[in-house]
Amino acid sequence: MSGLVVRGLSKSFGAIKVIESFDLTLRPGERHAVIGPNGAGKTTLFNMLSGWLAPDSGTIEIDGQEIRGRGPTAICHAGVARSFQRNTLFGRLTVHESLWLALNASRKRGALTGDLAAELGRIAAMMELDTRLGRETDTLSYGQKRQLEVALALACQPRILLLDEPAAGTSPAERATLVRLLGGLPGDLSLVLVEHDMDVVFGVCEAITVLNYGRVVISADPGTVRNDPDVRMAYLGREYA
Amino acid sequence: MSFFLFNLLNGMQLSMLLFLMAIGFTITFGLMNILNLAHGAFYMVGAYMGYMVGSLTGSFWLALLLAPLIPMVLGFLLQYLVLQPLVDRGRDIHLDMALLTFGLLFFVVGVAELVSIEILHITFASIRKPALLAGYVNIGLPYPSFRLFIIGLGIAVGLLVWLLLERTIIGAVVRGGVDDQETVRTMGIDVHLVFAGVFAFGCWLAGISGVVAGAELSIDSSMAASILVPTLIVVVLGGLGSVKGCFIGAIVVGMTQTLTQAYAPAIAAYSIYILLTLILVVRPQGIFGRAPGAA
Amino acid sequence: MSSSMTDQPMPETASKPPPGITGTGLSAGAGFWAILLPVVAVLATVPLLSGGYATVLLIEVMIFGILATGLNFLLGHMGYVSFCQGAFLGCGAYFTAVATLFWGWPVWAAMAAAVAAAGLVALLIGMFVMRTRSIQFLLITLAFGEMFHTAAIKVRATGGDDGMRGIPRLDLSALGLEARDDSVFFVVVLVVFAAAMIALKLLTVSRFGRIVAGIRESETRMRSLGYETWGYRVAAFAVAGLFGGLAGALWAQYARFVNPELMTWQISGEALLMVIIGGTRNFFGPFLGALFFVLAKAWLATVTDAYLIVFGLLFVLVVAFLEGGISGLLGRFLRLGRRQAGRIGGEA
Repeated sequence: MSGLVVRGLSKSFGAIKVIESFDLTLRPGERHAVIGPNGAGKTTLFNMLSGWLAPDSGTIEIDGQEIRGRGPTAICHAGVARSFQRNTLFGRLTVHESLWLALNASRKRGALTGDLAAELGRIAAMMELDTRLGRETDTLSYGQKRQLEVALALACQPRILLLDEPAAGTSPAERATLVRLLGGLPGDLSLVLVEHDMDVVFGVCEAITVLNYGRVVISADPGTVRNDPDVRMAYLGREYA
Repeated sequence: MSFFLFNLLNGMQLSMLLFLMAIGFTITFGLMNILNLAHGAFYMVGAYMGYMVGSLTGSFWLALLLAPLIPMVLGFLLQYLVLQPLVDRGRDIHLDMALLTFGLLFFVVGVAELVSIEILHITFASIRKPALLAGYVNIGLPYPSFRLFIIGLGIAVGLLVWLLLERTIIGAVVRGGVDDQETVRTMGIDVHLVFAGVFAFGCWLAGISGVVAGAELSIDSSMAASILVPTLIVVVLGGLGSVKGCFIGAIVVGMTQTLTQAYAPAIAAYSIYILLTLILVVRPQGIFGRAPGAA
Repeated sequence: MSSSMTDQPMPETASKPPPGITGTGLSAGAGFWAILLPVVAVLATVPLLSGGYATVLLIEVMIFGILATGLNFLLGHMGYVSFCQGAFLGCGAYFTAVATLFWGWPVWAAMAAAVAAAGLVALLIGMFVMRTRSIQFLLITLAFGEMFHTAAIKVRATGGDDGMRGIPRLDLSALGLEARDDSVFFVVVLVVFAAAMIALKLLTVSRFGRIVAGIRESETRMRSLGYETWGYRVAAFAVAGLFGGLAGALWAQYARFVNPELMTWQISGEALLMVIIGGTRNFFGPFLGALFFVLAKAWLATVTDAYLIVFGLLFVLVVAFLEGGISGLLGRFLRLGRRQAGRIGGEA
């Protein structure tokens, strides 16, 4: 069980303020989406949360432990795992070998206590890859690769899962599979999802934060967000709000 | 005092020579992401061609003017006919091209050995300096005018390159072309010609440095390889792909080399490697290099 | 590679790894032995059946085979192009020479220490050099390689440009054999070669080897999985250095002479050539490359002095058109129909 608390996170690139005073409080087990138009700063936010980019100011705490500015390996140790928007997979390795690598790392830092082979099977089954274990990653379909993206993150035994546009580039059928699989994730796992696709967002998440030009427009439950005039303006422009 | 001035000038001269050698290499990598390990080959061709033109016409200036045109044309052809098609077929620009040009270096060194020993029967040769610059200039102590010429030439070339890349549309076009060929093409620009042109420009610079070195140092078949290490230390120190870095890096390496030779000869041979290790520890990307990327 | 392949459910359950995956590295795949045993068997007959020239050539092949396969751990397995393998060859050779000639050590001890020394040097340099990646790494290894070359020339104690002569071979008097006889030395080299191949294969399929392969495929992913990749990369560099040093220790005894020429960028380049022409994706590719290189060079020498021209051209052609090298080509012929697998442990 783990709570993520982000306060006042800011990042500028030169004169451009990409993220400004971002706040987020994640309850254990919460499914939270971060949405917003292109250029709103979502990827930058994610890179900061997952340790690939150091914020200019603000704090990121997990269970009171400050993880801001620490690299990706340290973030992993703190129980945060991420998937990538563009497939960052082990092309020539099989699904089995890929998952093994992830689980091996978890075992080495003590995050995995049970039998590795059993856990590998469990995660593969959870993401419906158990019939593909012997296949090389390059030979998987795009949807299966996106599933593997999530599976690898799960193999880190995280308490908080950051998913960067898991449905990016997927067909409607693949998207539906993904929504179903994400819905089947353990209840005590907290989830932060960056997404463009509203089907995924509304199908998976119970809370949504809307970002525009690096600032939070609103942070509430899906129903409220859907009807909020500021959100409609951000997405649709003045004419249609 | 005058010993120090002498060494300072020697250092600057070596620095500018290194800069001339390294700048072509930096341009092709900085603008097009192609690591041309055969750069030394073009340098050597420039030197040999300079020797031939110089012997035939008796004029250093003609050699300087004409000889670099050969490596320039060869470079243009190499990029347009060989490298570009391979890159277009999806080969990894970085490592594959680096290896390929390395193979080319092997090949050219082999040819040079064959030509110079079997055909030209020369083991050491040198381009005759022009009468104007063959003497000495009195600046408190007699200093070879040719070396002052090298210093001047280096600075001039540096300015030229900087102007071309920063102040003209060419640099922008090339950088744009590397990032997104399609878009640049839709602007009516034949990107492949531009790339070949840039590559040729880099080889032209290599040729110039070859002629200059051919007059100041000697010409032999090991030339192509012998500049490899100093050149790449300059480039690594300054930051891969940065023109400013190339200039500063050349000065650091040239000065270090010269001053240690004068004042601490025991470690002179290792000085540049100590420099390299230092930069690796302190700032691996080089003085003006981009910080190591994250994701 | 084609996504039109129908999905076949794997007959095994998830807990048992599909064929081709080895567990803790205590066994290498059947393919490995299917190649190694015949090769060793054929090689073993050479000193008995043919003359001194073939014996000597094949000694070179095996030594370079060790050098190249060690380099491929870094190049093919981890994806890092190193230009200083020659420096490690030289380190191993020089250390062997110094230990036997100056300190009077028995050759077996000198060899062992030479290997360790080369590995240690690689480890130390690796700690700096692995702060870089890709192109920078390539350039820096080139520079460090030259540094060793310079040192070998400058240091008077080790003979400078002239090098050192009269290096003894392994003392086999306990077995009643004399290693100065090339046929006997051949067997020594064969034994070491076989052991080195087995050791490298075990390293490749071990947990460490898998992690190194992961770094090759996506270092970004490895870091976000929690691996401290710098350490593994340094270790891989040390492995290349270790086996380069072993090749050097053997070379010192083979040629009975060491000089700075062993540490030039040409030697490092030739090592790369062997690996690439032979093929980086197959465990035995580099050995094939070494075989090709030594034999072709010997044959070319009868025709011309300019072997660099031919090899340079060949290098360019292989990089441009033959991505898998000779072994890839052979593999394609031998596996007509079956898709080539890119397993962690390599083809064999």
